[in-house]
Amino acid sequence: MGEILKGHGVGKGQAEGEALVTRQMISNDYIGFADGVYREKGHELDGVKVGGKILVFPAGKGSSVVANSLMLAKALGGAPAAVVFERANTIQVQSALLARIPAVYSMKESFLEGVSSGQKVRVDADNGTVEIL
Amino acid sequence: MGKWAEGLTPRVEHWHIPKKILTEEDVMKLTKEEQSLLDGEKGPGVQRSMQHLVETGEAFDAERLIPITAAHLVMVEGQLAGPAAEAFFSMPEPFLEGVTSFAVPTTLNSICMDLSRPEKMHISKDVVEFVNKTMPKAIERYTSRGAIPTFTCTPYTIVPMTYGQHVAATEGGVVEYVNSVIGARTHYETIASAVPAAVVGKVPLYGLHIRKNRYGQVLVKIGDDLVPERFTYADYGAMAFHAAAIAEDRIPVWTGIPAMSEAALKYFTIAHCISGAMALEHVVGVTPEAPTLEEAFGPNKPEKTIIVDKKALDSAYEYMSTAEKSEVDAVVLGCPHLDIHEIKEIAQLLAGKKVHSGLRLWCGTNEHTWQLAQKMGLVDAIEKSGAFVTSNACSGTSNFPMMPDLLGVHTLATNSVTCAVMVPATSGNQVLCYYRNMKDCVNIAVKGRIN
Repeated sequence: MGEILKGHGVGKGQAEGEALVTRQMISNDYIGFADGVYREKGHELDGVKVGGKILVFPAGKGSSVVANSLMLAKALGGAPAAVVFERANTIQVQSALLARIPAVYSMKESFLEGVSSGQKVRVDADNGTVEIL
Repeated sequence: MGKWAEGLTPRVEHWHIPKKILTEEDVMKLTKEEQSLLDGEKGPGVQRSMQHLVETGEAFDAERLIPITAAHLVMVEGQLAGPAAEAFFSMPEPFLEGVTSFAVPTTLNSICMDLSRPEKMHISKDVVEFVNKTMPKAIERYTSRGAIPTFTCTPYTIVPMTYGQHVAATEGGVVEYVNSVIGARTHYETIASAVPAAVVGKVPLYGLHIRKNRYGQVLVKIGDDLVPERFTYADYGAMAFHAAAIAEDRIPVWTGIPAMSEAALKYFTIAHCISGAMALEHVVGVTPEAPTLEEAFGPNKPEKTIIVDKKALDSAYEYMSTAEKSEVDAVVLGCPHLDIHEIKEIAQLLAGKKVHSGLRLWCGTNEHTWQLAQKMGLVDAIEKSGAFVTSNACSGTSNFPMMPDLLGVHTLATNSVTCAVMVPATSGNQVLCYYRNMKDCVNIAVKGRIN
């Protein structure tokens, strides 16, 4: 049984998958709806597939016009399986809620410190936990 | 954009409505009336809207909901999502079902394109048909529910908001300006989620609706090699774009900038949300919550200090200039919508000049300002050159990227951070940009090329 990190859940639901950790902010606008590839000039994940992964990042950014990109990405197959972030803001929380994608954000424990890319993790939005499997 | 699921119409999942979503463990307290809305007493749209507000509130441990005095909505039009148009267009529907009117005064953001004079503006029938596939429906579903047809990203110039008011605004520029310059209180609501707020007339009490969360968090200084008195709108935008990327989601307190005009504040504030994720910034001595440095920070100590110098400014200009070709197809001014002073500036810059044949110089504003400009002879003065003063519509950011071949625009120049960054991003790099100040943009429009 692996370590369980406790944070604050957003919405409900669980997801398992491979963690992909970045220390740069993420914009849902830049996730390819169908192919799940992240495209942002200069970003460390530029050209990297985030679809199906458990995406771990400091905070979300983006526009209001296409901030519901996460919803479209979910509908068209490109969305991450779950999103885990250090600091919650309206854009990221509502994106996850509207898309019905499990999300958890940090309270006392840092997910950026506690999770590494490649680890298999389980995100539980009901309980607000991230478990390293 | 890759191979979409051809032939498949993606359906946006319509949320289930649970019988009771608040348990004893939940933090949020609802009034009897709010609970009845959540129970479906006013129909499914109100119920789903309440559900979204409660879910959001729960996510942020909000105590309760509070009433808002206004909402500002971005209309959801299908053009903005290309092949996923239908799914995108249907997004607000769950919140509108059975709703006959919004609960609070609700203003509307710009329409996709000014189609009032298509022939004169060299807009083909194909473009008109493409835009009209969803634009009229997008407008009607909000105006039929009482939304105020402001059709602008500067609604506060037509329907005022005041300091301390709680509102629900979408569109980055509106949010940043309303929070930072007016001192009203809003989050950066998303285009679907602001609809629940407008339907119910409430938002959860969290974040920026609470004074203690509005204090500054990082300090920004202007480098000695910059002269703020000489800043152009493009300089303000580039500066903010640079600093906001470093500040990430923290609230910046800017120092060293003397008085700023409304237009300067407009370009300055909106740029923050293009690279950063903060919905609020302060400029000491300029914005209302920052009369002094101490009051701007309140109980907070600056988490870091960011210095914006000439090198930073230049690198921001470079980052935002992605174009490769020398020939320029369009120039976009008015992102956000121009005020009357800017229109006058543009008229002066264009005096005696002609826009390069085939190049589109679109100067976007709202209808109120357009009428005023026309009264003053400024519309005629500008359009004499071959440029167009558009009204009600997005100046270029939300239309050029969606139809590069239809409009024949693959390279554009602009003094707007939003336009320069979002156009390549939303067009899949089919339309690239040059980021230049207004004066240079006009020169580019006359020459038809970058140099």
